[in-house]
Amino acid sequence: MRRTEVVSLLPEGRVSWDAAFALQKKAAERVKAGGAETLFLLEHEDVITVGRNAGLGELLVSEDFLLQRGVALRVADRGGKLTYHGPGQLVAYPVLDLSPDRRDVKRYVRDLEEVLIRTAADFGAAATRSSVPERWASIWAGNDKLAAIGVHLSHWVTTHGVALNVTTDLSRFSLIVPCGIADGGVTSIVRLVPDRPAPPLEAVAARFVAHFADVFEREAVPGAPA
Amino acid sequence: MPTNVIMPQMGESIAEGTLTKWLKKPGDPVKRDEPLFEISTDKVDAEIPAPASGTLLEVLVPEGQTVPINTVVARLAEAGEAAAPAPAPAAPPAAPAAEERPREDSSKVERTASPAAPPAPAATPVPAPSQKSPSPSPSYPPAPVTPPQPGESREELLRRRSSPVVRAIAEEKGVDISQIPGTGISGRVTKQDIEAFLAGAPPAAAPWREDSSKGVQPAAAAAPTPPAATAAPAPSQKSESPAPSPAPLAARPVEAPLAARPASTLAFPGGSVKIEPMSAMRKKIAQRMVESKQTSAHVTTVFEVDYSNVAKIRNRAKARFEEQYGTKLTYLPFVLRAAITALKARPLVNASIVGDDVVFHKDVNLGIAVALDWGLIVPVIRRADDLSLVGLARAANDLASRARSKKLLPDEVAGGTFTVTNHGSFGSLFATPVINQPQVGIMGVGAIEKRAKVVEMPDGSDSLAIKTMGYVALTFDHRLIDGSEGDAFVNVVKTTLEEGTWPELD
Repeated sequence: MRRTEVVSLLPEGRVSWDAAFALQKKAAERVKAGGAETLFLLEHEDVITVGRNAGLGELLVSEDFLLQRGVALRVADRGGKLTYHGPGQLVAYPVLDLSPDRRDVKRYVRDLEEVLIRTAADFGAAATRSSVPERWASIWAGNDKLAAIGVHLSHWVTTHGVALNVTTDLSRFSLIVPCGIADGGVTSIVRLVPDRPAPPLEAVAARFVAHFADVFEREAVPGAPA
Repeated sequence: MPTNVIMPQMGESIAEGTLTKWLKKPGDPVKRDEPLFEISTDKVDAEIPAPASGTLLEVLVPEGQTVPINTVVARLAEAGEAAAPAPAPAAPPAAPAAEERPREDSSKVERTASPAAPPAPAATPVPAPSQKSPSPSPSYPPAPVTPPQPGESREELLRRRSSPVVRAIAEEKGVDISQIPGTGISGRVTKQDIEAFLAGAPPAAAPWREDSSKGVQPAAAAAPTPPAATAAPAPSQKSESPAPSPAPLAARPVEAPLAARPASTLAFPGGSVKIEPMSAMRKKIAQRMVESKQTSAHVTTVFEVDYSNVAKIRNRAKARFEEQYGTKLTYLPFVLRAAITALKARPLVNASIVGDDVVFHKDVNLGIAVALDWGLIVPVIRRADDLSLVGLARAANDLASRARSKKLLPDEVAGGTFTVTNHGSFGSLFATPVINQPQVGIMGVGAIEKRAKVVEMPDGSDSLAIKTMGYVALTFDHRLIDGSEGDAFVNVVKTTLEEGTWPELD
C-alpha cells in the first residue's frame, strides 16, 4: 500500500496561506521526483482565495475593506471560484500522485467528498453530495455548504484540497459569494450539531486522516514538514 | 512530422475540457513534459505537459474554449524539424470543425447551438497523435488482407504492410514502402524486402519464417551475436551481406532468402544447396527445443476468447494511454494481466519441476517470447504480478525493444516461471508452443480478428453478431498438470479477458 506522510500544522497555530502554499509546492516537487506523498492538515489565518479562472465579481466587498479586517486575498492556481479560510476550519491539502491508478479528476473529487462526508458523520453532521450540477464538488447539509473543494493538478500530482467548516465564523462568508453559488448558505459542524460540544480541530483531523487512508488506500504515516 | 497535442481525458466520465491558458506561444521551444497549457474542469485545474520536445508550431484552440477530449489543440515540430508550416496532418484538427459545424448546420435557422452542448460527434474522435515512433512492441497485426480496403488511408496501408523496423528503414532511406513488393504475410514488406530493394536486388521469394511460438530461452542469447561486418571464413561465422547498412539493422538475418544474397559470397555446389553453420543462438535453440520435448509430456489445449470487451476498452483508451504513458496500448498487456490472474488462481501452472520435486513460485516472473531476425529470445518481466497494466505495457515494450537492439542484461532472460508467446502477431491462429524448461506451461496467443458469432438473444432466439475473437492456447506439462487443471487455467484467462474490468484505464 502506498504511504502518505501526514503533516499536521495544527500544533503550530494558524498558518498563512502563502506559507502553506510554499510547503505544498515543495511537497509536490518531491512527489514528482518520485518521493513520498504528503497530506497537510492545518488551520488558516483569515484569507479569501480566488480560483485562477474566476473573477473577483463574487467578492462582495472591496479589497481595502478586507485589508482593514485583516483578511488576505490570494489568487490560487486551483479550480473553483471564491472561498474563505480561517479559524475553526479544518483545511486538508493532499499532495498525492494520482498515477497510475487514479487518473480521473472526477474520481479524485468524489473521493475527497467521501472523506469529508465520513468525517462529518463521525461528529454527528449528516452531509451529502448534491445532485445539482452547479453544486458539484462540495458537500452539503440541506441547502448549506459544509465544505469546499478546489484542486490543482500537474502531472497528476495534486495540490490544494478541501476546507471543512467545524467551528468557522460563518459571517466571514458574507464577504463573498462562496464558490459562485448565490442561493445557498454555508454551515459548520457545530451549527449542524448544536447539542454537542464543539470538536477540537485535532480530533476532526484525526478522523479525516483515518477516512483518507481508507478511501485513498494509503498507509498514513507521521511525517515532518520538509 | 509534427506531433499533435490533444486535449487529454481527465477521467472516465469527462468528455471535454476547457483550455484556460496557453503557457507557450507559437514559436516557443518546448521540452517534453514541460507544462504547455492549462485546462479546467469543475473544481480542478490541471497543467498539461508537452508530449514531445520541439517547437510549438501552432495553437489550434484559443484560451477559454471548451473542446471534446482528443481534439488536437496544437502542433509541435519535433526538435530538429524545421518550424515551418506543417503538411496537412493525417487527422485534421477537430477544434475548428467543432466550432464551425453548428453554425453551418443552423445557418438558415436561429443559432441554437448552446455553448454547453457537446460539439458534433463528428469532430470528436481524433486518432492518437503520434504517427512517428514505430513501436517495437510485440503488437498484434491488423487484419491480414492485402488489397487496400475502402476508405483506408495510405498510412494504414503502409502500417498493415510493414513492420516498425521496415518503416524505420524506409523513413531513414526515404523509400516509399508502397513501391516495394512485399513477400511477407499478406504481402507485407519485410526487412529482407526493403534491404533487397535498397541493394537493387529483385524481390525475394517468400522466405521461410521461423516458428516464433517456440518459447525457448537460450542462455547464450543474452550475449550479443557477432556483428554483421565480419566476413572472415571461419566456420562459426554467419554469412553476411557485404552491403553496408547502419547497425543494429545491419545484422543480416540467418534465414534471409537465397535470392537476396549476392551469389559471390556463397558457394552453391551444383546450384541446388548451400551449406552454412548454425549460429550459436540457433544451436542453443535447437538443443533446448529437443530437450524440452524429451523432458515434458506436452499437451496443448485451445480456447476461443471473446476480446470484444477488451477491444472496446482499448479503443477508448489507447490514444490517451499513449499520450500519457508514451507507450502504445496493444492487446498484449491485457493478455499478460489475464495470464497473471490465472497463474495466481492456479499456482500449479506457475510451478516448475526439479527432479522429483514440485517447486511453487511466490512471484510470477513472466517470460515473453520475442522473435528476432536472428532467432528468438525470452526476456522475463520480474514480479509481473506487482505491475499495473501500464507497468506491464512498459515492461513488455521495453524488453522487446532491448531484445531487438541486443541490450538485454543476462539476468533479464533468466528466472521465468511461465511464458507467453504472441504468435498471433504473425497471423497465426493457434499454435502448440514448446515449454520453456523447467517451466510447466506456455501460453500461445493467436491472432485477434473479427468473426461472426452466434449469440443468444434475451428472448432465447439466436442471432449473428460481429465479435472480436482470438484463440488462446496453453501447452502444459502433463507430468504435473492434468487436463482439467490446464483447462481451468485457460478458463480464468478467458473470463478475465471477457468479463474483467480495467479500472486503471478509466
